[in-house]
Amino acid sequence: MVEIARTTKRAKSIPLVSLIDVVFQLLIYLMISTSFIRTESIELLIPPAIEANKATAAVEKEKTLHIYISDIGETFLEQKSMNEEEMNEQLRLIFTKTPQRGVLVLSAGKVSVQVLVRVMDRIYQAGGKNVAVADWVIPTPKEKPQEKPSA
Amino acid sequence: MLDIPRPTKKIREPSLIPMINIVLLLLVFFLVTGSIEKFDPLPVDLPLARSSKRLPDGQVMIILGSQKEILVNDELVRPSEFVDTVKNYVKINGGKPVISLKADQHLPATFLISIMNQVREAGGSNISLITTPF
Repeated sequence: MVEIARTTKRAKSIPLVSLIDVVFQLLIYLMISTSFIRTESIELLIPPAIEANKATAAVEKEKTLHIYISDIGETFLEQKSMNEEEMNEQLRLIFTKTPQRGVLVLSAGKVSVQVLVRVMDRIYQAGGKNVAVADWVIPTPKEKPQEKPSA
Repeated sequence: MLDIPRPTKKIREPSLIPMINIVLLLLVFFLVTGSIEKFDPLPVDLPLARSSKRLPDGQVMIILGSQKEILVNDELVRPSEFVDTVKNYVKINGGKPVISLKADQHLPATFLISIMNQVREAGGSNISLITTPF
C-alpha cells in the first residue's frame, strides 16, 4: 500500500485585526450619522377644506366651531373666554356628539406657532378631526368712531 | 556574582475576541435604535405636540427658519418666488404631493398661515406640520 502523506490539518485563525478595523469604521459611521430625535406630524387643513366640511356639517345641522386665540394667548370658544380645562371639557362634549364637526382656529397677529399648535393639539386630543387655521382679523378702530378723542 | 534569571519577556497579545463581541454589540445597538436622517440646512426648533402621529415624509419639504427664511426642498426661496416654486413641485409630483412643513416654534402663526394660503394658491392640498412629541 502506498502511503500518502496527509496534509496536516491546522486550524487557521481568521485575521481578526482587519475585521476589527472594518467593524470600528462602521461603528464610528453609525455613531455620527444616527439621530435619536423622533419627529412626528399633525395634519393641517387649509381653510377651503372647511368649506367642504360645511357641506357635511350642514347635513349634521351643525356649523363650524370657531376658536379664537388672542395676542396674549387667551382662548375663546365662539364668544366665551375659557381656560384650558373648561375648553377641553367643552370640546370633548362637542366631539362625542358630533365627531366630524369642523373647527376653525383663528389666531391673532402675535400668536406664536407653538401656541397655535398647542391649541390644535388639544382639539385633536379631544377627538376633533377637521381642524383648519386662519388669521383672526381684528376689526380696525374705524368701526368705533365714538371712541376717537374729540379735538 | 549571583545569576538571577530574568523573567522572560513575552509579548502578550490582548484578547481580541471579547473586544470584537462588544464592538459588534454596539454596532447592532446603533443599527437598531437610531435612524439615519439628513441634517437640516437650518436649525429649526420644532413645535411640541402630543396628538401627533407618525406620518410618512412628504415629497416636498418646506422649512421655515426662525428668521422667516423659506426653504423648499433645501433650496432658499425668496418670498416673492415661493408660490411659483411650489407650483412647480406640485406639477412635478403629479398634482397631489404630500407637503411636509417644518416651522420654527417661535415664528408668528400668521406667517405660517400665510405660507399655507400660498401653498393652497399653488395647488397643494395635503400638508402636514412636523412636530416633536413630548
